[in-house]
Amino acid sequence: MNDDPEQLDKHVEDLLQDRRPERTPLADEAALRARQTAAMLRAAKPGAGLPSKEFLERMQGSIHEWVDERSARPQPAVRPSRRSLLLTGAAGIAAGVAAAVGRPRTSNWSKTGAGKRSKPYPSCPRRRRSRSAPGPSRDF
Amino acid sequence: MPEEHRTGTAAFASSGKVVALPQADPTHGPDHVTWAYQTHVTAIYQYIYSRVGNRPDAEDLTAQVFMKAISGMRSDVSVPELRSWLYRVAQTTLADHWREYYAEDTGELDDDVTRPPAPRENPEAVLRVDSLLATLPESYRRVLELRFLRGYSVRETAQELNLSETNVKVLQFRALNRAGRDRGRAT
Repeated sequence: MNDDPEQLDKHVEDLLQDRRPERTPLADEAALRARQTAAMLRAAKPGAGLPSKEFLERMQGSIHEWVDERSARPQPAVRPSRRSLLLTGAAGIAAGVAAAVGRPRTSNWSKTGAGKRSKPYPSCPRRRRSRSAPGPSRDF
Repeated sequence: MPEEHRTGTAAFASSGKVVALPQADPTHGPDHVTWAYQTHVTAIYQYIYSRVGNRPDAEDLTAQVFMKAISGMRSDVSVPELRSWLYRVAQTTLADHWREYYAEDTGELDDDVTRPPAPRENPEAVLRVDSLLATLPESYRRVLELRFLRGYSVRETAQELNLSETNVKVLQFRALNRAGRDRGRAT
């Protein structure tokens, strides 16, 4: 569709009345630029381009709602990073090696009862418990 | 707009200093999202208004910008970073708007999107218009001034310029196309 003075004037009138212009297919980029220039000129009129109080209040209400929703939502638990999992795994292996190397000595402790209290892999039971426990941990 | 012009936050935002934003804390004071909204909404609205030239589109697009922005907003960025990011969201929202609105390939307009925005839009818009009008022939400048800056109707403009209403529309058409071309060359 070719642009013409009547069509462009209709667009200008809409802008001057602060109405949303009709969406019309444009012939080319020149037609688009002419409308963008009209918008720029419209905005330069003294007093134009300030948001209304009603709009600001409406927006403020929407933002507050969004913030309230976010605040009310339970915070997701922090997922362990790949790096921390690797480090934990490495620490477990190191503990295993240490336990194996130190077995003759710790086996003596068991006679006194101290060995029964010691846990070679303290994290394992906790991890198993958390995996089987119901509730928030299942959301992971 | 009492909250928007609270002296503390407004001065803080306009200082241009690199300062961390207030941390989100729903129980104490405004959330950083609310703070970011209050201190930037007018500037973003004016920025968009000067591109679309009408209130309904400016309101819709401003709302879109903040709805897009708040979902990815971080509290550990500086004020200039936040401002620049909000303008980038506004620029891409506008580019989408023009593409959708006119089903036009606005590839060249993307150049405009990469330009850093002015810190305060309205005075800058007035300056841009002044310099644009100054480049136009007298008859073109006159018709645009009467129609846009003085708000004359086509009939009033015709009377003022001793022209027919049809001639005013033709003159306005030529003037806007010429000004649009000049703007295109400038970007």
